[in-house]
Amino acid sequence: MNKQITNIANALLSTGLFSAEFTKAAQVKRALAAKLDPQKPVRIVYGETYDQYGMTIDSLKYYFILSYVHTQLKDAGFNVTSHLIVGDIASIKNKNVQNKNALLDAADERIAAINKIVKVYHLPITTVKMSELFEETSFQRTLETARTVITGNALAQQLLQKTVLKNRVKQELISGYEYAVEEVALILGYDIKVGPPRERFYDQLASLVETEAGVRAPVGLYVNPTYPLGMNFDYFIANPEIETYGLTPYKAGSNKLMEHRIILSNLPNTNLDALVTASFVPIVPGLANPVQDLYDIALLAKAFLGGTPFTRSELAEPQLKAETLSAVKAYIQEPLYA
Amino acid sequence: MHNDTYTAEAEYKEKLVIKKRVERAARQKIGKQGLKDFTKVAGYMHGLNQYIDRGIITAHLDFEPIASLIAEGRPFTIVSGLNPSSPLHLGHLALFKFLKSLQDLGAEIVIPLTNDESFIDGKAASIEAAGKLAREEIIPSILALGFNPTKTTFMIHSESPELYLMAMQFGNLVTMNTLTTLFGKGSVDTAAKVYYRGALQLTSILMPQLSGKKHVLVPVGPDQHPYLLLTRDVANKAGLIPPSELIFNFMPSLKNPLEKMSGSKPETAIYLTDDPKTIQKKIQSAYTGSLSTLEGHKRYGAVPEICPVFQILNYHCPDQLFVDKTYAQYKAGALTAGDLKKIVIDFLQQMLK
Repeated sequence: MNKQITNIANALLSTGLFSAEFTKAAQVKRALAAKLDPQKPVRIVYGETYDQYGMTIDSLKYYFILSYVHTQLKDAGFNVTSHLIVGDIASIKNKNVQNKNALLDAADERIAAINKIVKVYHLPITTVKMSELFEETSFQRTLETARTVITGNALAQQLLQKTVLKNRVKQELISGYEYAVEEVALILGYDIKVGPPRERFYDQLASLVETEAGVRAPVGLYVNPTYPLGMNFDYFIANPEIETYGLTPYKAGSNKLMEHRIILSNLPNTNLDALVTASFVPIVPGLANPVQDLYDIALLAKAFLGGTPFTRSELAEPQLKAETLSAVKAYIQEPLYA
Repeated sequence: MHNDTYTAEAEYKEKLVIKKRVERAARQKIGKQGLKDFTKVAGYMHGLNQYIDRGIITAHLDFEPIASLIAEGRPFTIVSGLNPSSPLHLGHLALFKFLKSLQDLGAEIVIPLTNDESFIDGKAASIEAAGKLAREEIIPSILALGFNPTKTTFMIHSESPELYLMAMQFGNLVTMNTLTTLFGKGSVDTAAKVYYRGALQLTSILMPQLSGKKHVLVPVGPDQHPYLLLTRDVANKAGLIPPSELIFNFMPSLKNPLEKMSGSKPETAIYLTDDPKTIQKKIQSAYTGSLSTLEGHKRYGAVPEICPVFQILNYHCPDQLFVDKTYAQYKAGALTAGDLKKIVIDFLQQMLK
């Protein structure tokens, strides 16, 4: 079985979709081998909040990668369930959020948009609302367990600070890191979690809860960071935190960089050419490359549309920009908005 | 036969130890006193500048605003001083070629010629002699590299009364305690040295801001970081923008990769005025990163990183493919030290014609 898990892990990690810095192959293989059992169902999760600006194209990446992990395990003979948790309650916790009621109501709209994506791309994922989970007694018990463990643990207190961008620490301290505790509770009980690099601190907190309270915590698979489009190289030099962790992929307003993100519903009206043309493409591999990221999303879309294997293609400028523009139009804009 | 192999292996391992020491020396200050690793910055700027691409810059302090000015195609200022105590050598040339390459990216260059420092440190017989060398040899040599004269300012210290005047104001913001802590008592043991290190030098870096606050970049060697710290401290106190810093690793001595090429030690340096015969003699007798036996060299290869002869190509040859090919062949033992020396002699004789 270990050989099978190793093969699955190798297949996933060799796609180039996961952050080499944060998703260490040996660690992932060990953790998957410890958690996965072909006799038992595998539960995979990805969760996202949202803001008033709409669904980003980067969310699409996560839906695709969640589905990709699901498919790899299913093809290997595992019984897999994949959940996409829409964090409606979490989305209104930010004190800067205006019009919270409208944002809560927008959850259904978002779920409708996700369901359309699921249908068009034949994705094997089930969408769940955070507010519905909160109504379950079992979840409330898990939440209380998480809160008790985290509040009483010194290491947990250190990890909590790392779960947010520096400019949000003060706000979270005031709320007692309620958002983070709820995030941890939401992922407990799952075997694998797909998420952005910064979320690894939630996963470490979940592991603490697993150690102290015996509740199952997932193995984290961290996707390549999301970067703003249309920036020159100096942006990444001047913003090392974003260079390392990226923006919040599912929030277009992350770091107030809405003008540098692609909102899916606006895609037909977005000047994609201008955004991509103005984006810096590094020559040295391993550096922030939002154009490559966009190209990856389009190629994932192509793979799910056609039911074909995903093959990542790393190109140099200017070919990368040209191929990205045509792939986004062909595999995302046309299927969703034609 | 067995002894030769063992000796070669031991010799190769010794070279690798030297390589580690060279790398450590270049990177020892990273993470301390605000200095940050330049590796990622170099990655983002790859292709813009030969010296950045070749890893000659290893650390920076506050380079971010300069990166933005370069990205936006806006002008920025560089201050890079020279102690005019000896004729220029390849190490100076490398720095000035780097400055010229930054001028091509939009920099206005200010070059203080510190003839007062030459005198107080005993490197020149008089301030006037050092000033004469600066005026008659050094400035023309630098301009001959193709600097845009409208964007290049030379400032011979002793001929800049405004510098000495401003130094009195800025020097008033520096305490003796700070000076002795930063430089050590031996470097500030005369009134002249106190005035120079505590006031004059930092003033020459801050002078460009007297016409308006601006971002200034100062490329320095690793041992000159304390000067920048002092200058930044005074800039903050005076309401000016603290200068940014790049750590530029100077060319190694021809005799010892752990020391730098020095104008006051002719055997360690190739001067720009050296004739072809002298160049040949100096290169032939230079230390190399190769092993002492041909068999050992073919088996283990060389260590180009500690080879002052190879580093001449790394710092000066504009042909990246050629530098990469020579590096690979030398490292693999396919190119001998003798062959490398021939290549470098020819290269230098052409370059310095």
